[in-house]
Amino acid sequence: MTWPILAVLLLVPLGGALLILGLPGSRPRLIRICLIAVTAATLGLSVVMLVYFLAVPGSAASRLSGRANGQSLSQVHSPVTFQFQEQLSWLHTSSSLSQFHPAFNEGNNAFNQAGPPPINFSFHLGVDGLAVWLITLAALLFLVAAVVLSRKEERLKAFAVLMLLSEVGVIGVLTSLDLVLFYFFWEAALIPLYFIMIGWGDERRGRSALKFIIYTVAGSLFMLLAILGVYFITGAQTSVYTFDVPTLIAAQSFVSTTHATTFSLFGHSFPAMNPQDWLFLAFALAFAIKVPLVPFHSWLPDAYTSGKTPFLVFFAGIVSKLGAFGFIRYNLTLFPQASHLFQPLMMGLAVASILYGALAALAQSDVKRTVAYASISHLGFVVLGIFTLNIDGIDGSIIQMVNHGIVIAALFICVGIFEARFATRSLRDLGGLAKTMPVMAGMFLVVALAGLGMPLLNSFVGEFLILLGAFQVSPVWAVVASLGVILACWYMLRMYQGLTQGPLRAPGGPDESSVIAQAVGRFGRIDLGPVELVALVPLVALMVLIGVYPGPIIRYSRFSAAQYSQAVARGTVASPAARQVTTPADGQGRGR
Amino acid sequence: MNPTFTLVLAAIVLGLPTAGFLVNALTFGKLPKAVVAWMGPGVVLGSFVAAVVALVAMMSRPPSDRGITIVFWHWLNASVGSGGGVAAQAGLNANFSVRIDPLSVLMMLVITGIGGLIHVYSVGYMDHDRSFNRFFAYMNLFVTSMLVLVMSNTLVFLIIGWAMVAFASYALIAFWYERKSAVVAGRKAFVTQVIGDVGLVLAAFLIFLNLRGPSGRLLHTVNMQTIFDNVGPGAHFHQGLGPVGGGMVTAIGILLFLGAAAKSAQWPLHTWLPDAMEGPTPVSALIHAATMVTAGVYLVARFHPIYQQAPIAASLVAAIGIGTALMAGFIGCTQYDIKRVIAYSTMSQIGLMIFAVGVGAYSAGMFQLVAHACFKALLFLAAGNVIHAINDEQDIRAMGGLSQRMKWTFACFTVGALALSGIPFFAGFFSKEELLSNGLALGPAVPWLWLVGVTVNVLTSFYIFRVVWVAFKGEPRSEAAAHAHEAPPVMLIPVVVLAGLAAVVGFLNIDFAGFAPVTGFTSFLRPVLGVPSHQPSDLVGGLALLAGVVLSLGGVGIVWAVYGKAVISRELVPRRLPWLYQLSYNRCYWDELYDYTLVRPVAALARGVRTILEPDVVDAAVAGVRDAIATLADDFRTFQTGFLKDYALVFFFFALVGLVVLGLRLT
Repeated sequence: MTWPILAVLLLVPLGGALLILGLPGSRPRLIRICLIAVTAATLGLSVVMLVYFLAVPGSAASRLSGRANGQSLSQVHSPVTFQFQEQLSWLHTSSSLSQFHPAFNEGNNAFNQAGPPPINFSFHLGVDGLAVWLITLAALLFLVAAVVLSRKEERLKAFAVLMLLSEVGVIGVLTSLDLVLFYFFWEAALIPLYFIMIGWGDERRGRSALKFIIYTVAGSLFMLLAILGVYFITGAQTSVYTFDVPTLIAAQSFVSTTHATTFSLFGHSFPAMNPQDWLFLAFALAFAIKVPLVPFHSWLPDAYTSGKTPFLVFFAGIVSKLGAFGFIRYNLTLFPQASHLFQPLMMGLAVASILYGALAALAQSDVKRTVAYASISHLGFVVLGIFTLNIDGIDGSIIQMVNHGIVIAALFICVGIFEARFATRSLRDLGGLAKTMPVMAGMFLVVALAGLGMPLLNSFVGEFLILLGAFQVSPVWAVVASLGVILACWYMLRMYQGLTQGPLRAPGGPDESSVIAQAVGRFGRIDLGPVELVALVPLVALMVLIGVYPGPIIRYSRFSAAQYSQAVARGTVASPAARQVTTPADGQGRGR
Repeated sequence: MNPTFTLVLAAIVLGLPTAGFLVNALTFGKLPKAVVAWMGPGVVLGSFVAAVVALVAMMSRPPSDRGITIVFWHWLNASVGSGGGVAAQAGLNANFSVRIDPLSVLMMLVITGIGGLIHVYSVGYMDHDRSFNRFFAYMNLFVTSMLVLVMSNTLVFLIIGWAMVAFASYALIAFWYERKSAVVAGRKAFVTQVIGDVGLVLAAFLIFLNLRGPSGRLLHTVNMQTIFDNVGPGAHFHQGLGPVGGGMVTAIGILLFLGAAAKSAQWPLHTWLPDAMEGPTPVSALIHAATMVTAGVYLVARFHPIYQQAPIAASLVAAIGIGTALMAGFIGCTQYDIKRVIAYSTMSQIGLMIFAVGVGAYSAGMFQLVAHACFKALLFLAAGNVIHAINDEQDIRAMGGLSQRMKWTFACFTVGALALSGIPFFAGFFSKEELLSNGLALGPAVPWLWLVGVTVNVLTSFYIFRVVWVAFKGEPRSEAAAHAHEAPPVMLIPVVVLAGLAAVVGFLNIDFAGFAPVTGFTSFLRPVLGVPSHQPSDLVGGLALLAGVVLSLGGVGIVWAVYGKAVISRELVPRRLPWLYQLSYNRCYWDELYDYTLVRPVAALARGVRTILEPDVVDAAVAGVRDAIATLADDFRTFQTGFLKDYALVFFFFALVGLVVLGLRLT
């Protein structure tokens, strides 16, 4: 690939946002067409990226490094390989790139003199088998959201612009290979999301948006501190002062994580948490809020219930994945030892999310809330897979992120379809609708089945691998987590059957014709319309396709999963080479 | 066998019902009814023809060469090759591959043959239903799913088929979705099946992670043939799944049986089956008699290499099977819904099969499966004729006198009842005789298990002839019964064919020694299932036979005495032993027990999460933090007076503190 595809991927939605900003707000049709065209172009680009992506990059190094920091990568290999790398230096206070640890840059100590640590960050982009799929998913879901977005939506122009800006933020988070850049996009994505939340939705949206923003900003602040912590601690120990992610990942092999210090309390001495552990927790908090994991979830039901369908398609579909993405990309690679230390905690929270979300979903009468809690439960599986720290679990999580994005978007579209026709989402007011809307019932059935992990639909693949991974760590956790599968069957059927089966129950009912008349009066039709079909059919088709033939996704993801599990395996026992150079005194002494 | 030829055959067997489902589903009921009426049964019968061809092709091979594995596509491969700095790692590698061997061909024939007849019957039964197309879509999907289940050669696709069957059965049970009871029954069946699926998945994990090859190396395989080759006899501590009777293999056996119990409606996962009678009657015949419920028997027979290594698990299977057989037979004696009686009968008969495969009489269990598929489908379809004729009434108290008006149906139902009871020379006679004598020879040292099995015979013939007498004999007890008409040919012909099968299928297993190429059923399955470790002696076999027949006839005799001649009062048991009657009538209270110990607590927990934990704990904690910050902010606001002098004061104060601290550190 000779052209910077990732930068183009960022620029297209950004340019699209500027373009729509210039359009007159009085022409909604034009705005909508532009929005669809821009999101479709982004999807097209991401497909091109997929085509050129190498399943196993090791065999073709020429495509691998590109304009990357050749000097460093030639000597220290990051256990995770990135493709399509683009790097533009942004801010350097040190002109030299020789701040590497003496162990692999012996005899070059002249530069390691005392002085202010150099600041070094750059516009560095790159993707791996994890990010490519999430980027493609993001592009797909933004397109679906654009299709679902009604031309009659109030302040359509503003919505379209904000939506494209959040797409830039999301793709930025997924592509950035520099911690500062990552943090920039992470926060930048929040702003348009916040404005959409506060501007469009039901009457409780203000409160929901505030809750969401406070939660996420609180999490982000700790992460910002932790990013600085990573910078300084890694720098102090290895003399590599950089925000560059591949370099940092590589450098973690040389960072001391031994629990050398202890603190004593009431005469007993305990191993003190070392800085790595604190940094892990700070990152984990930000990501756990974003996912969200129980007990950091309380922003989610409100936000999902208040939001409009097009917003939820990409918000629930992709933004929640950013947390899971962060766990894999940053927690596992930057804090391998802490990942092992906190593995029981994180798996415990994941299992708690699975069961708690499932139970809460079971008790809701508002189907939108059911879907919201179901999302918590499903994402619990994703996090469970990540913190198995083995290849099966991580691979399953990557696949499950994609699957969940597809399923949750489709579920929100379905719920939105019912709401648009009947102006209610309560299981108490609705029922037996299969009779009046058979096509919708059929689609909804497939979506619900995918949601409960039906084989030959997409979720089964991911859940199977996740449980297989979890089983290798702890059969007990796997068994407890699989209770979530049983509960999922229960709450999904409760929702599906409640809406579509049983005696007909809807506003205007129980008379069939008056139900139809009311729905037509409110929405214009009773069964699926062309726009809704265009939005749902590709999602349903993907569910079937991935379920029947998951091979291609696995082909790309498994290599990255293997690399991540290898990166985190550095935390179990430090390799002999690392041992030799990682005494704290050694790192400190030479660095300063 | 020519692999390409077999591949084509297998593709036809699987592909035809799949195509039928897809065409029906993707046209959203727009297809003309006449097309569906031909296509629905046509694809299944076409599939049957292909299965017969596969049988003939297979039988032309020597017995040692009758198994062939065909890979359709590589579904998922999570292993990692070395390269790019990553070490090679064996991962889950699941193909969609099918196994064509005597056992799977037998199941294919049962599923497509009897299934095809039931499809034909359905054309008549569902004639007036407004969801005719949807019905055949689901029926074809069910056949596909069941075929995937029995043909799969990988654990993963076995699980996939297992779950697809669960869905198809849910969809068919809840077919009349406007009925609340059907919807609930469907959900109950599905959730129960998922519990079984989880057992199966966990068993698959254990096998995948622990199976070792002859060299002691972990195999990491889900290929069932590889698994069976490696757990076989001779596996010791560092091979296969560990030593005979070891914890690993026992756990796997029990988890597999969890799946089998859910599918085959065995205790403790049996309560969904009677409720499943909410589905249309052909569904009951297809799913709850001939195919789905027998999947558990197939599973245990298919995994017999594991059960042979796990005597404790196998004994548990046998005990649960026989216990369920007794319990279901006991419950069946007092039910009034004709379909529920047959449903409990199914549960009971499957219990016997599970007992047989549990004690190691695999081919006897499979033989009972085949015979049962014929006569139980017959009973359901004949009952369907009755129900159809009297306006969907299922209570036998509202029937009566139907033998006059529905002669053919009556005759066929009676053949089914005779076969079920094990009256000599009908199908059930041969299959049960083999089952019980094998059970006696192989059974654990406790012959009481066998005694229980024989006792079931009395119950069986009692409850089924009770139906015959009450429903068909006597005077019509309702307006509808008095004006019942015989079913149309499309519904009658499949019933008659099945009656013929029920009458003769038992002769399959008589060893026509010297009359080659006709071979007995047992020797047909021998390449897969092997030879039972103990053969019943002639004396034991003869005694078992005699006892079985006497007890069966005894059951008929009791019915005759109670319902025919009224020598014994019908109120005898209800009056003398009311607790026993109530226990039977109320289905041993299992539903109530599960409702109070499982369903309600979980539902209450869920409500607790929604009404207590979410608002009062989680949100309250968040609100608490928010309020604390707000209070803090209020406190700090007092500092922001806006007067320069105040700020200057604060500045000087902290500057002073800073200086003092600095000074202290310097000294």
